[in-house]
Amino acid sequence: MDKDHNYNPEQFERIQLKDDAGEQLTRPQISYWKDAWLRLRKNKGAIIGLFVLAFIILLALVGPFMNKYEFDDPNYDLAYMPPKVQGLEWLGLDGKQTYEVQGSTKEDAITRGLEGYEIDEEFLLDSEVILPAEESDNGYMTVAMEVDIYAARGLEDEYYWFGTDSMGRDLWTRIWKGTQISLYIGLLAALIDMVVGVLYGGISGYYGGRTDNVMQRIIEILSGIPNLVVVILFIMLLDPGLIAITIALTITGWIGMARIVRGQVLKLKNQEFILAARTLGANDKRILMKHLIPNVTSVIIINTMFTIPSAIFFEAFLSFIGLGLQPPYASLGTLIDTAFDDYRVFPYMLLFPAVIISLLMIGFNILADGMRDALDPKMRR
Amino acid sequence: MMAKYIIQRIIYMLITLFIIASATFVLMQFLPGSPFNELGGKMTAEQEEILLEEYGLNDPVPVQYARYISNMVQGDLGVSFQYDNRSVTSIILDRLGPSAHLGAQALVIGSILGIILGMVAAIRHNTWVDYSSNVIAVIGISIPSFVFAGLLQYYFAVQWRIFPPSFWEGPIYTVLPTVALMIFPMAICARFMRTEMLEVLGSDYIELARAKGVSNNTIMFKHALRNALIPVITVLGPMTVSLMTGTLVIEQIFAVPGIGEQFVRSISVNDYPVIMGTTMLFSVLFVVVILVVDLLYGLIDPRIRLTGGKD
Amino acid sequence: MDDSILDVRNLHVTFDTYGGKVQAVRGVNFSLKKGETLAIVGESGSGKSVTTKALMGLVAKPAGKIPKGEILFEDKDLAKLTEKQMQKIRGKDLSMIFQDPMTSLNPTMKIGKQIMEGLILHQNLSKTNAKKRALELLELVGIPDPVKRIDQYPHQFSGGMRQRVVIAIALACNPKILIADEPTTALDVTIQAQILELMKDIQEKMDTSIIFITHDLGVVANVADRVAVMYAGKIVEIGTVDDVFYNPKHPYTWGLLGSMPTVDSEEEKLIAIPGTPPDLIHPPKGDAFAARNEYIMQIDLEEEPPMFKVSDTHYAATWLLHEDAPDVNPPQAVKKRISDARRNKSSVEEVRD
Repeated sequence: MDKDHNYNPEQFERIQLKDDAGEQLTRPQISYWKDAWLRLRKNKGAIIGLFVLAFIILLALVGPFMNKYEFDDPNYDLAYMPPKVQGLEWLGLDGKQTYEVQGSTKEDAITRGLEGYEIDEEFLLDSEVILPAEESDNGYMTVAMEVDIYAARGLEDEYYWFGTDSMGRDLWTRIWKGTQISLYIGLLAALIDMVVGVLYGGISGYYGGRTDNVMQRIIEILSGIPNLVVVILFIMLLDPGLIAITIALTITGWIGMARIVRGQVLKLKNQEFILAARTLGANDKRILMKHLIPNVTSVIIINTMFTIPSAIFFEAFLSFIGLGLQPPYASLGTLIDTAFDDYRVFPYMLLFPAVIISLLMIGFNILADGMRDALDPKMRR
Repeated sequence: MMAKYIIQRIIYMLITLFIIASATFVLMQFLPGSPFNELGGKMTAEQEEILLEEYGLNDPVPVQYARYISNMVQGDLGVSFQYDNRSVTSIILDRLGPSAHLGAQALVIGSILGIILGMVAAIRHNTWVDYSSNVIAVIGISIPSFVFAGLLQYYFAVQWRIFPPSFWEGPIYTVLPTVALMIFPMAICARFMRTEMLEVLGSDYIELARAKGVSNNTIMFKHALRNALIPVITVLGPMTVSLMTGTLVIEQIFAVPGIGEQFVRSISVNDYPVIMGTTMLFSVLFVVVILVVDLLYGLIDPRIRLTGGKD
Repeated sequence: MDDSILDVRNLHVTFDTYGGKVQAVRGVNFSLKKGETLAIVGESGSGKSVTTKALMGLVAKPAGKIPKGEILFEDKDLAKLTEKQMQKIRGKDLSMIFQDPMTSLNPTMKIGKQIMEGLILHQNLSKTNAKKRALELLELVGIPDPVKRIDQYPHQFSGGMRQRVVIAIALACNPKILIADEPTTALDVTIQAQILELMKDIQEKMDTSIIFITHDLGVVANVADRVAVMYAGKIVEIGTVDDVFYNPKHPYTWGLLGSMPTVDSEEEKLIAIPGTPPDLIHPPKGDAFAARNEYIMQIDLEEEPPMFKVSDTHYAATWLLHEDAPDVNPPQAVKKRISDARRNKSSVEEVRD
């Protein structure tokens, strides 16, 4: 004890604190959703994901109106135009195309190339031997020749930002239209999964007993069927189309949601506030809608967030194996699928939709991860 | 207890397969066109009638159904429309090799790399190692395998000419398809392993081991690794699905003569028997893997071994 | 102070969290004598568990740090030792019993192996000798049929049995100090008594010093020689069991005693301490207990109280003990509680005599 210290006797007078002083000194109470939002905001990945998604969705909506081209307006004279953007020529988006051609000599190769692609010699910008005859399998040398294709076709004033496809359609417009469709399928499938899954899981968990037993056996059998198989069989039956694809995706897609919701409902069902509502005479429907559903909202949101990217993936996958949308409609999947025919010469056809679908998937996945971390009550302190 | 559980699981498995088989049969009935349309439509009505009779297609539907199921149980999946009436079973068997090879290679390499990646990330939690492992995992889970395969093929085969772009003629030809196929199993393993490992490392029994004075390395390998690895078996299910979907597209991209490539080709020419046969094969594979995972889990985890059921 | 084997001086522990730096322990001083049992009591979040984690060198890095203070044990400052050096001490000189026996054993390792691990590590025993010793330990902690049990997995044991195994692990190398972090909280009441009995027994046999963390004052009276009451990361009152139970000086201790149910408290109400503990990210100026103190004075808001000496063994940190402070007596209910307890105790002693 500090002997040298002198205390003023007044300091030892009893005082009265305000009643709520004890509470004031503790941390302020924040609501669940606000807390979740604060956590989400701290998660750099999730915020990046959010921005990437916002950007892509915005472009998907306004992109098709940003130039004068139509998504289903074929013009074979304009086929395979490489991407060209005003001001971004330095990025390689300069409308120049490099062809690889073969010939016995360099000149021979170039002549053949110019003839084959119907280009005048004056538009040849550069050429380079990339594989000498000695190293090649067939005895011909391979020459890369760069041509200004826009000039060659007399289109100096046209700008196809993402180039054109084999039918001369503007890829910028088609890609954003396709993104719209991919997003639409993803969101719709997630919505249907959510509704069906929540109803099924909610009813199964809430009523319990025999109902639950039967419903769970059904789920057990259905979940043994790989959804790849279900989806393929259904598309074959229904003919590929927007609705068929969406329905096929949701046929077994809701099972995961139903399981999670049932688990949550079982857990919540016997908690005091539900019992209280029941003793107060609330009927089943009311308890389900007013008490249980709000309390399982977070798991529903998390699960739905993961459904969207998997639906987008599945649509693209179906398109890729030839069960997707039919022309002239395009989704990111069909665009990638068609791009595979020509991408060795025209890599931009693959690159743009590939980058966009990848960003979309990454965006949804990291946002969903972030939301799970933010909303998961287990992680909450 | 355990035996009863296994029997119950096998019964469910058979019911599931039966439903799938029936669904494929019903679908065949509804699908447009007679199987012989593909032959060019040059048949006369009498010829077609003879063929229909020969294949039993004039029998009442229940009879056909019973025959279909009984044939299937015996491994007879019908006859291809596309290849001069070759049997579906032989087509599938012919093409099983490359697919199995590719799948196994991707599964083994992918999961080992994934487990290492996830473990290292958990041990170096919140360091750049952890962050980069997370980024790899997110990319691997997000980017569709055919996009990844396309990029690999463009850069490593077309541009840099390091690997052959396609076909299946030796080990070097398997590199690109394997990498493309294994990226998802690797990512999902890494992610799962990291979560499990972090949970284990934060558990009371690891703290007790520390309190015993056990060194960090011993804690990682003797205490944590085993406990974290056990649940990783459960990702085998989703991994199989990804391998099945993966083979469909990746075999096509790299021209691997496997089941997936055949399947996609059959879809494009409406060769229904082959499509249905492959579908059955995938279903059986999936159902068996799910069962094996479940049983394996019980075998490895001592908590389940004697109680015969989770928890 | 010669007979003390552990001296904790001005110990501080902080944790970096996403909300800020939590000052979990803010200057704790105590010493532990050979063979004694020191109980540390307090609410959850008072820093009692963190203090013992710091003694064991188990404060989770990198979030947790010991920025100040010394932990003196056999001429060494444990706070300054490296992880490698601590590994040699943990489990050998200092060992620990955890709160929840259901989660503190490795589920995939046989319990024999879990006991032997420390023996092989610290005493260089061969596997056979370690196993022999493990069997002895299982016997010591009262597990029937140890020969069969040693090859079983934790899930084959009940909660009480598992806690006995945890105790056996802690005792394996005859530690000089045994830290028990709420060892009975997760157990049934009947099992609690058995485990406490076992610990008392073992202490007599092995002459170990025990630090016993609990929030249950009933347990304290049963097992401890001395009691330290912790609040908001500090010790606010420390003394022998008699000092703290029969002559408590700190209003927080009064609150704790008032909120403790007793066997014969039929008609009495339990007294709850109003309010909640302060936020240790921003600890309040002055006395941390001020906001919940019924007897608050101006100085409580201005300056932290030092440790006032009540007797040679009894200290408390409250300005009420200052000579200028008004005379304040514990609330009536607490007084009654104290006199009841005293009467009970003397009657028990009479019976014993």
